[in-house]
Amino acid sequence: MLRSECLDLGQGALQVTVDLDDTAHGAAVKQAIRQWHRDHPGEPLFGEAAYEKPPGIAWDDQTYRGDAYGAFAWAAYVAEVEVDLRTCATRVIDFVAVQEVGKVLNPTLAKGQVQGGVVQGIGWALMEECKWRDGAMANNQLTNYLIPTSDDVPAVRVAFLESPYPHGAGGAKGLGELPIDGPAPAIVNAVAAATGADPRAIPLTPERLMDLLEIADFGLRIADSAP
Amino acid sequence: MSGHSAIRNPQSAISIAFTLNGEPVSLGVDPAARLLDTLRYQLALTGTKEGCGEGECGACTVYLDGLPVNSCLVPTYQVRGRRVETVEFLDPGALEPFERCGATQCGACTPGVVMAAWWIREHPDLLGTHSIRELMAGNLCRCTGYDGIIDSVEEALGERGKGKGEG
Repeated sequence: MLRSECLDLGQGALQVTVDLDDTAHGAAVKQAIRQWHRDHPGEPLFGEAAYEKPPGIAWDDQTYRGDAYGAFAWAAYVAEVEVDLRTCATRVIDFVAVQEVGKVLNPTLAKGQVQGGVVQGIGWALMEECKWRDGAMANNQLTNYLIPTSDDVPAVRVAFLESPYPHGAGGAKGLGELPIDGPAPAIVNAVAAATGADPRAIPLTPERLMDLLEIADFGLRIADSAP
Repeated sequence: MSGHSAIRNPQSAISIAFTLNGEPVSLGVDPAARLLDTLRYQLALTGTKEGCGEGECGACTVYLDGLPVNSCLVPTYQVRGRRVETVEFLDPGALEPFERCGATQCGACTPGVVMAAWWIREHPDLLGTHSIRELMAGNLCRCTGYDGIIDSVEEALGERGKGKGEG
């Protein structure tokens, strides 16, 4: 809930509260300000506005407990991968991203935000690794810090389940960082399901997967040879 | 990175003449100047962007004798007598599908992407052997996830659905 609060510092407070879904676009605030100026001709008016969190959302900065954000978006990601068992290279061949972000305000940009975040997530899951040396990034060039090209990623299929959120502007929730969180777990789980490897670190580069598959293969042979 | 193509020693400047966006140009350049810096800082054609500066990202794509090249890797003196076209040479209408399909977010890759896309448009026979995703792989984009770019190239080509997948 947006509380718009206008204060006359000299002669007492003028306070107006407006809901975010206010269809009158703040007409009550404008009306109150006009009235104040009529009552106090020629005097300056100072104002301030503050956002109030929705009821039930609270954060305790002392104990670091509670809900830090006023609106949580949700998403589910499905990755289909192919693993080349000779080179241990993983390729994402299909990706579906479904999210609930309240009301979608700009469908083109929202879809693009998800596709971009997912592709960064694919890079994070499979190839992007910062190597540090003496406190600086050793591979700080696109020659040795690889990011996905258009040919490394599939078309990302995006769906929104819209559920307008009463405490967000225009019914919306945030969609900035959401799409980068899910791809790596989805992809790594897909590789685990496909190969029997149990990856515990990303990026799951061919080198890293090769180590894991050698272990998995070894474990399998132990299991086979057991009486 | 490169001292922005200022001529460090005037006595070592090289005089060259070439065709830039259809017009003859002659100027003195530092022997070490990159075409990218000459375009941006001597000729004020700032549409061409520097991304990585090492030929990986394609943001600085220009046409050299009709071929797309990374202008960060071209010493300016090498374009003597040749033909250079930059993104400023394209019809502004070329950008329209890119705006409509969400091919642009931060915009740093966009000039290079548009140059590559237009080159594909001028050479449609390439699509017989390569997908759009393969042909656009020399232009890195960090924001869009490429789907908006692929969609707009398809729109620009007027043949939707020829890419590897549909978004």
